[in-house]
Amino acid sequence: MRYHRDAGARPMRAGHVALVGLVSFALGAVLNADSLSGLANRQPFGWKRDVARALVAPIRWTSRTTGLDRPRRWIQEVAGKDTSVGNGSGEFVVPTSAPSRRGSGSGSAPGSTPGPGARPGSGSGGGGGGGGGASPGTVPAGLRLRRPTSSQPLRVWIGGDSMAQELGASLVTKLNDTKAYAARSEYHVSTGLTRPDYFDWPGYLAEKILPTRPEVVVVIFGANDAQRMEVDGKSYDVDDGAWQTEYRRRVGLIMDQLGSDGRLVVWVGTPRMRSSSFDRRQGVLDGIYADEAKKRPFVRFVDSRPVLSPAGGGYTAYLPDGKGGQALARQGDGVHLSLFGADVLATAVQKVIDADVPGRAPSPPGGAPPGTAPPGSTQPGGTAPVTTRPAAGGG
Amino acid sequence: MLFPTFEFAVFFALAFLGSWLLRPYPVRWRLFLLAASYTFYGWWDWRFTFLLAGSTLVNWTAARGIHRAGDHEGRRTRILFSAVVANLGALGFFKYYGFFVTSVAGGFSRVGLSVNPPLLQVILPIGISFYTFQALSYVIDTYRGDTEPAPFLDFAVYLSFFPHLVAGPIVRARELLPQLQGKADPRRIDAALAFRLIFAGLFKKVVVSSFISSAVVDQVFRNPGQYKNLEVLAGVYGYAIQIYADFSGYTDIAIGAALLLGLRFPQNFDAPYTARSIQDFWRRWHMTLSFWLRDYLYIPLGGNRGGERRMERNVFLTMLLGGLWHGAAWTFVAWGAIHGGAMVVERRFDQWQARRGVVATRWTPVRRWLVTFHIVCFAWIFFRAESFGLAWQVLGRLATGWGVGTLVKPMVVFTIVAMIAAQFVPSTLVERGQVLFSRTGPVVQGVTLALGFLVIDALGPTGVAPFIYFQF
Repeated sequence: MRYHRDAGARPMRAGHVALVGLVSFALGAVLNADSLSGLANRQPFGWKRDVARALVAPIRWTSRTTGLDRPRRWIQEVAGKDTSVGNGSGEFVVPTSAPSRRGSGSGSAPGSTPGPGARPGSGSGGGGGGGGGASPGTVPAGLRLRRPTSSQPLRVWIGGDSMAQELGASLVTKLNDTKAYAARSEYHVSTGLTRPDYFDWPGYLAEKILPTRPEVVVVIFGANDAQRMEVDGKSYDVDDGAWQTEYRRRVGLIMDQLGSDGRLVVWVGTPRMRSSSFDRRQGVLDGIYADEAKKRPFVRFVDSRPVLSPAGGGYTAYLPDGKGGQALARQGDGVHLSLFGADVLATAVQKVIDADVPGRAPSPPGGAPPGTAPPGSTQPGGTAPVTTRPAAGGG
Repeated sequence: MLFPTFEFAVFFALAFLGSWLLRPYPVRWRLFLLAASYTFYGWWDWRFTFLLAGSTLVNWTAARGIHRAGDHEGRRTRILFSAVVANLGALGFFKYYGFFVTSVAGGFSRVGLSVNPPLLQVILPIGISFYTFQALSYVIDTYRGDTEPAPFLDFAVYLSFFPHLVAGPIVRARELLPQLQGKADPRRIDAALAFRLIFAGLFKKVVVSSFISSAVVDQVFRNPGQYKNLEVLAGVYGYAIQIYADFSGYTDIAIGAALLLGLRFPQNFDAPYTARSIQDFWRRWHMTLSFWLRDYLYIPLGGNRGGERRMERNVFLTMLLGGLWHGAAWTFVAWGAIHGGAMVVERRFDQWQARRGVVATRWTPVRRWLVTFHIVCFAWIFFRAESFGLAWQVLGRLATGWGVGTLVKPMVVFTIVAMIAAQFVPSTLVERGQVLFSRTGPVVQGVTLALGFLVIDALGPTGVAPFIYFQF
């Protein structure tokens, strides 16, 4: 066995080491106060977060007062570091300053969600600019998808939280292989719609995604969302009415923001989870997605539960692999998808996209309208139907 | 609890203070370390602690039984056999159950037989591969007479000691137990070395590994078909850097943390990408695993005994099983087979050259380094790819899809080149800095470390991904 050499370095006393540790922690905390503040803010709502924020506040004040917060920013600027994660504003609103290319609104669809800034129970939000997507308080017009060609494929963006990692990878491959789509995916781990203070999805979409003019958007959110949420300064749990009203508003806001410019929005629900309590909470979220999708003609909801849990509907880690065997569809954490599971779900999502794209939709017997998933669509190796919530209204 | 987190910083500060305050009281000190280690492990999932406690009890009892059996060879062997079966059985169930069942069912279905074995998604307890190997080494060493059975508390602390618990280095009982039983001088802590290792480890993990994985590796290995060949090449080289930075970073922090507590772990990495042969690579990469495989697998298989072909078979089998140890998938077996096969071919090539009297030129080391590095990178493709299909796609894109692409950014290229080049920097240079640091006062040292925190935290991502080797 070999050991690292002390190379003649002078040994230290335990007390000396403790002092060095103290100095480095204290100064390190002041130099990284912004990071500590972000860490405290990202804690789940509750007393631990309150304590963490109270502890960090004087450190941050010291850092700002002495200017010791600057070196960190300089380093990040020099390195060109993206600081969008962990630096959300805390407000779940669509930025109004971003340029908008959407056409005129078409008025409110039945049951449209209150506009950004509106609080639960306050009814429709006010009007205002349409930055970064749909105008607050309005719902964009229906689909306007063009016929793709291999030289001008439809631009597809797939995104969301960590669940979008595997799904995005698989879907990008499947879509791009058709030459009808030019798909790309990205995901931001630990993000969602309940904590804009950690990651500001509406802002990010407005600033980074919509300017790239995707024509189809596929999103999956929710795996990090079944946590307490602050509404008007009060903290609520998933089962509370106020929580669900606010989450519904946020989901609707994202759908409207994404659905501008006649874009197709495919919202993928979260699959069954191994933990029964977690699964129950995810079920609440899936219900909200389905409801909000139903209100918007440009949104398709893909219910991943029957796709990934065909046998009896409960959580299942294995699915038929189409070759007579079984393959692992979920990762060991009982939440994320395996490569195979992502393939199964991506196949279902692709069918839903194809159904709306001119030239890609199968001609169904009886003339089912575009936007309706092929009846009895199946996943490879399985028999579960793809459940979608197609357009319920016009516009 | 991950090393590069605020939770661990607080935990370790308390562990450091408690450990040195209690060091004069051996029993209380060990109980404290045991409690700290179980807290550390239970932070992930408290249920795992029962498995760790069970492993401790079974292996301690087995070693004691072997020792007590004295000259009763049959009894000693039976106890050893039972302990090996129990350890490998637990590891097999938790780590390989799904892999085994789906492989068997798949095999049957290929010959037209349909079987429906019970499928369970077994949760893999973190670090089980590491502490199982450590426990096995203790029992086998006791059987061989290389280690005396330790008191229960000592063994429990040895097996669960938090710095090495979840991802190594694999520390043998005969290395750590004497340190636990001996006295440590609180006036002589190798803190300069410890701080160097901890900060180097943090930088490698938090900055390098996180950056290179998100900038190129994850994307290339997820959708190789979407990228140009130079992007894929950057992804493959990038993964070589990522896994080195990730794993060596973890063990550096582990070794440094143990040093601050007055305990010395063996070195686990020694500039592996400077290796000029695959054999040399394994003397530098995850050294504690290499030595473990040599002592407890290669030698029992016959080692060098029985002629050239038999030795080659033993090398190949050892690497094959070493590959399977890393993960329950055929891609890991392929990774082990590539290394095993390369070692056999390399040996025969060297013998052939020696027979022909080929003399090395000044370029021979460069050529050998290049070949070794690329064999290692080739094998990493199978290690990283989630399926053979994806591995073939990576290889296919390297040969086709000509172009540079957008992922090959200057910072990506710089990181790869700098990380490889850094391995050729003589360690004496780094050690000189270590000595210089040790001779300054506590305030200067504290400020230096604080600046280290600043750079690492400013350049690192928000939140840190788990270490790659946790899954093994």
